[in-house]
Amino acid sequence: MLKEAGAAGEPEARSNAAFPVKPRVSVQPPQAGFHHPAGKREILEMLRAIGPLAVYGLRSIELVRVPGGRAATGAFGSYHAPGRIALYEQPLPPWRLPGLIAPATRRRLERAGALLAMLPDAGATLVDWPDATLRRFMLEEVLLHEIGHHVLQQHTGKRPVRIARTRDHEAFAARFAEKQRDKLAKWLRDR
Amino acid sequence: MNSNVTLVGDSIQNPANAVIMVHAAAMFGAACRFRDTKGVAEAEAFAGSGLATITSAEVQALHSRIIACDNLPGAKEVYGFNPVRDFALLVGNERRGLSHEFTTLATDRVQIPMHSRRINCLNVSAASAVALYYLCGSRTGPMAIRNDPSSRRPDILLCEPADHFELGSTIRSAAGLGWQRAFVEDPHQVWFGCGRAVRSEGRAAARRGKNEILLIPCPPQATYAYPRVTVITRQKIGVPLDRINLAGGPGQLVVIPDESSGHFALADATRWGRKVEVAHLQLPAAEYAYHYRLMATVALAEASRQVGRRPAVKAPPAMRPPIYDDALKQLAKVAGETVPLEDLLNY
Repeated sequence: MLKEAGAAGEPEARSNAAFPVKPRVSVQPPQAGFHHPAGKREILEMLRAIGPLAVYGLRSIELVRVPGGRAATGAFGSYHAPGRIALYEQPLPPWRLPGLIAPATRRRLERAGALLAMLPDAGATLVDWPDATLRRFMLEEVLLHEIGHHVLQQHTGKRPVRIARTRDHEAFAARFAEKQRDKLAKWLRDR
Repeated sequence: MNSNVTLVGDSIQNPANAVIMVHAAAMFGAACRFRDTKGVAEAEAFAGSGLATITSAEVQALHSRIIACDNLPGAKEVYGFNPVRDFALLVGNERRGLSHEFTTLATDRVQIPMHSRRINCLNVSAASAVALYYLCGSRTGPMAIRNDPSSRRPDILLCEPADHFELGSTIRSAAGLGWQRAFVEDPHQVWFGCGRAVRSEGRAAARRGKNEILLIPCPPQATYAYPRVTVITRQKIGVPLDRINLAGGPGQLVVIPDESSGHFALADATRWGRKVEVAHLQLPAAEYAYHYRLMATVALAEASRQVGRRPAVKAPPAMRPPIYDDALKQLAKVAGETVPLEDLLNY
């Protein structure tokens, strides 16, 4: 009605027309010795770069503390259907992780720019994050992976039910993150 | 007069209902007052005596316990509800129920459990009588829980009704409280074979448009062979109503005679069955204006309480939404680190 009466502007006229509905990004202050590598601004920029596919149905992205009892497991993020992504605080680098990490995870960390040193005698792994590599890891690996979970959940069925095996869900999220990384790299090159 | 109990009618719009509410309160020795927003005080019925009115502030000043009787969310069953001796009972408008002002005033909420899907409430005066009976009269337990309550529901016979409004309200109560059929012995022709005006008024009182109860006419003085017949009367004979078994199933006939024109002849009851029991309503007042709908609805409510209802079905727990974690995957978890002795000494 407003549009017919000429009172409402065209969608293109709005400043954030490409990003009409933002998910709520909330930040919980980190504990001592921890930090949030990616802030609210970087997350919104990343979402804008991906486009509306990532935003549709996404309710919130929460930068939160590591849940109790999970600090030693190296939790990065989680997706809670429907539409909630939690990104956990991370300890300040360098990290000394108990145990040896799996090769796939190692490749994933190194792809983001981490420097890894395996200590088989000590049964530990040293991980260092120079410059902004940890931020890049959280955005390009963790956030994209969780958005992949959301995209599958949202576009297959909106109800908060399990719509695929966990293994298939993870595989889809990994493929989605990989594709989006390629697109982002192209976008950055063109820019 | 029991000055500790006040029946409060909120925005009652039918003067006849208001009059019967006054009589219902008198049956239980309670006072009856109204918040009159519909002009009931100007009706002919209250021309001589006047209508006792009350405001919400006065209700709060008079009673610390205020019980709302309506099918409100969170309302408890009136059966087995144990109030203190001093309370106000609030009942609402015939169509709209209690107003928001009076609902927020209430300290407790009770309701009369309905079994019908189509008749979801009783006549306001009948509901007042039932609520007063259970709140200030007998000390009964909660409604029975049975796997098959329909097998315990007795047949009912509405005997010799003298007024079509009263019979219509009673039929509405019977349907609302779960009966799917009722026998009517109608020698005064207030339901079957009556004139058009009486017929339409009676059907309206019974909410016949949505009331699916099957009414079976019984010829006067007909004989039946029920194994057990229970007559519920106003006379102080027999056992109190709450101490007689009214859940005998289809082998039991509960007879509710209209005694507005005189006492019912109990000798006549043997024509319905072999074994005849008599029960009476225990009322604190010795003298009161008789209304068939009040007596019958209280009797039917007690029978409905004893017949009971099915156990509530537990809802299955809601499915937990899925959560997908992203965390470091380790080759093997180690209990601790191997530290060389010289490092430890240096530390």
